[in-house]
Amino acid sequence: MARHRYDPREVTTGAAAASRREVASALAAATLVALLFGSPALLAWAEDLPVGPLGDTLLELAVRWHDMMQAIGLDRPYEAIRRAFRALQGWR
Amino acid sequence: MLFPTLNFGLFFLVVFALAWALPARPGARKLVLVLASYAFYAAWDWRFMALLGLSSLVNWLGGRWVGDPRLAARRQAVLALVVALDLGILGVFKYFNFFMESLGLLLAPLGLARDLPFLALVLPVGISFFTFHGISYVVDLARGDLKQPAGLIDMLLYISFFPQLVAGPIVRAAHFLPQLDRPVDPDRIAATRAFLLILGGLFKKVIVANYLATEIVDEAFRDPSRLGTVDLLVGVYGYAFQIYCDFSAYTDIAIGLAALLGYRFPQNFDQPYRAESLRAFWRRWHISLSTWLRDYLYIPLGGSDAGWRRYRNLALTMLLGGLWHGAAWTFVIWGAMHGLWLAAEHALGRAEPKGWRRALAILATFHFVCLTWIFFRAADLGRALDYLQGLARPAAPELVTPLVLLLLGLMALGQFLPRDRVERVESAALRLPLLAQGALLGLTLVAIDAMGPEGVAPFIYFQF
Repeated sequence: MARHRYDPREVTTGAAAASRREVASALAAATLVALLFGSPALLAWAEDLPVGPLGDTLLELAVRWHDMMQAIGLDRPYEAIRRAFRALQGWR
Repeated sequence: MLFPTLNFGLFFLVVFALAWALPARPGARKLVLVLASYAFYAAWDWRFMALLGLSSLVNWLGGRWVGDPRLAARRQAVLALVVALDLGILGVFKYFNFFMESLGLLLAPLGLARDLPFLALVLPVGISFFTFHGISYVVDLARGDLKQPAGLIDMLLYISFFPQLVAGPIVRAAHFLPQLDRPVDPDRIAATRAFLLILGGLFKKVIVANYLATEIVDEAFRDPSRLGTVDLLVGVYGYAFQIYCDFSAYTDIAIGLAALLGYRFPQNFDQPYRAESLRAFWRRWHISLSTWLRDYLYIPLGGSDAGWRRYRNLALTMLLGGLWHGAAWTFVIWGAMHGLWLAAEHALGRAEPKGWRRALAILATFHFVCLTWIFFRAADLGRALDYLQGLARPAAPELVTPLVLLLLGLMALGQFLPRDRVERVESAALRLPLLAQGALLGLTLVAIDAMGPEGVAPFIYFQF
């Protein structure tokens, strides 16, 4: 039997190209936005870190950061989305 | 280190920065990726790094002999030896206790099963995947699909490359290794497409797969004997979409991550539940496994040129495909059911249904696949049979909620969206500058995390 020629479809075929500088900037922007609006997630992550000098320091920084974001209200979208989804989850 | 975690996000940012700092020095770049991949694997279980290295080394050495023209006369013997070693490693870790247990059951009536040896082994994460990668390398060399043996660093990277290491897609040596021969182009990164694949994958895993599992599937399969028709029917639909979302999420994220590092992986899923036959289903589901089984097992067995033996070949291929998923009789039954149905489809011919017949064929195929998922998901054969019995039991539904129905509806709709949906969304996203796309990526990541449950369950395919 003739073998199939292996030429798989790739979902990245024909994708628009960007330079590494552009991609690095986009990833930096994503990180910054996630830090600003995702402070509750950052805090939850830091709380799960193993106890130790590094873990304790990161937790302290995360708490301070979260307090700052809370003070200017940037944690509200996160909490609102979470509440809305929990309400949907609890709907019977 | 799971993809949808902050730990992995930080890990990837470091790897991305290091890898793209070295595009002009391919050797150093590949070494960085190898070290990163081993660090990624060590985060699961550092003890198995040696096994990963050993598997790579065995296949690399085997490849040197298989690809050596002076040893052409012994090529088949060396190939058989290397493949046997690959399967031997897999067999010891994954199947030894299963075969001993089965042998014990067989010998018990004769009173001979008392002293059978069992090994206290932990299954190394991703062993089925890296074994198939190793086999692909030596077989591709022997067939001439790969022109020359790989260097050691290339081989280590091919086997261990972290985006695909623990759950695929199964990347062929002949597809991936030539990519390592060319320098990556720092001006041609498929970033927008990669962001979309990663976000889509995270949504499918963190939201859909996780909630379907916790809201209905786990409970339905835990004790099906206390539930009735509606819960169990929606439970198995839930599992069908849970496993699809879980596994396709992993491979979408893997393809996106590889693209951000400058490499191409093959597509692994293509709206499988819109298939109008089981043959079509296997052209859309875990494509890298089904084509691997076709090219490295079904065709060497004689494929469809073997007269009536094509049915035996099909059944055998699917049976072994089932066993590849796990060492349990439930997986064997799952594979056997697929093999028998495929053989029946081949026997009945290739007529393509149109109109309402096509709609019926899609429904029938989906329900047959769901039936087989019961065996695939059930903890044991007894519970699978309980599940089947329960499907005929009238009882008020307890587990079906609006969220479950919403997720199932969304995912069913997703199966019938245009095939170029990702390209269309990409075209829309490209109207924004990449910096704004990055900001949107950050916002979407935050929203997905906010909607997700506390913590993330491991991907289903990690156990295989």
